[in-house]
Amino acid sequence: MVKKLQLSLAPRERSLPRFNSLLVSVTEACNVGCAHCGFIGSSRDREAEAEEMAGWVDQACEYGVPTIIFTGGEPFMRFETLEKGVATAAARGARVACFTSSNWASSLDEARRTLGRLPGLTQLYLSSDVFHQRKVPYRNVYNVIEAAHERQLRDITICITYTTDEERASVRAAYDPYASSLRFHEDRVIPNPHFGVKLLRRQDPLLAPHPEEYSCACWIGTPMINPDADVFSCHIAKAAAHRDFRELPHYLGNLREHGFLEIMERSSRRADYQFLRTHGPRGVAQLFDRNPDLMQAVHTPGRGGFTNGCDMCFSVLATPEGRATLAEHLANSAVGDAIDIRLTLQLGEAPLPDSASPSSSVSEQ
Amino acid sequence: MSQPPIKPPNPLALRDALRQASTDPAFARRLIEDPESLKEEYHLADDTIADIKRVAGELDDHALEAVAGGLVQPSGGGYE
Repeated sequence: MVKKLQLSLAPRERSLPRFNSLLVSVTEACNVGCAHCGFIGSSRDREAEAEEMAGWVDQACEYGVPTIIFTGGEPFMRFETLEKGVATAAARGARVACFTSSNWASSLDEARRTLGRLPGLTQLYLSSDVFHQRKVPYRNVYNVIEAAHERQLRDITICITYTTDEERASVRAAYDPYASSLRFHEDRVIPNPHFGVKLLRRQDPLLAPHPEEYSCACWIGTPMINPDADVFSCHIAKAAAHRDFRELPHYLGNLREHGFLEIMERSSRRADYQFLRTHGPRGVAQLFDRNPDLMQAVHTPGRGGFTNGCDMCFSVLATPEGRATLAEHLANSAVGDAIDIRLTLQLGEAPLPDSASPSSSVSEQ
Repeated sequence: MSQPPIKPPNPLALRDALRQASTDPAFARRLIEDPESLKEEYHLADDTIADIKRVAGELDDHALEAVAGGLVQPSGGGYE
């Protein structure tokens, strides 16, 4: 029987975070290998089997996540796992979305055949930018759009990552024939270790480390599960394909050690995670005011600022200095009060419990 | 044998008010609309009241109704 998604919560569940959606990374392999992306085409040995990943999707739906978004790498490269995940989420009554490069859609027939095997899919995010389109012909993306339209799958978002406004405009223009039936999401590229210094030097101006440059809202309403079962607060999880980032405040737990509900129960008691949820990048940027030396610790050659809030948040909290400054910030009772006020008045949740821990390392004890 | 000293009850604080607000829509509305009326009972500092007003001021009508009405509010931000 298909379970209805929760529309109201019992008082106990008032202390649990609620989400718009969840990203599930099917694989960290990708056969495109774009210059701006950390997924450089390698296959990895830490990918979950289809049954295990479907189990994670099932737990998230049980928790009440209304939309499951499959991502990668390139999720269509592990098609049977994707197929099983989509079917599981759809059977649970969730909306089901998927990111793709469209590289696999070499013909309209191929696009029809492939989408026809994913009947539960309700939404597509098509990654398209100058980086992808050096390897993937626009025709492939058009094939996916046309095949999706034939199936009445009309919720399609073109996701454009760009370094300059000129690039953004040129990609957007390529979709003029379909523009009235598409949505567009445009965002600056987040630099990673594989990102060339040349690209960084010629990009649009960067954001300074001042709180007023950033919003409190970000993508933290969409946590992410990596193929190794690690759960992170947001798409920052993708950075963990290269390095162990489990000491970051964004890391919430591992589904091979705890269930999704238990991970969220533990996370809800963590002041660092709740600070990110309630204050977002603007709150993280306040750390530069608390520690004037922080920019020096975060700074890397060729970078004088940040492309967006995600870039700044991750760059700061990936450093020991950033995490130490956050811990100092959270020890201030006024900051704790501000977290509590926003949890209850903005999000409709209970404030932190009196036994709240400052970070993940403490909550594990 | 001497009696242990009687501890005074813990004074109510901001977190108690918020805990109450998260389960009681009428109380949530009062906290949002008139935090001064709860200042003495919950020992709310002036800065705290200012912060409550600032956050309440950022809520649009829909969000205000959702909080005061005890409805679900998703986390700020996220994929749509």
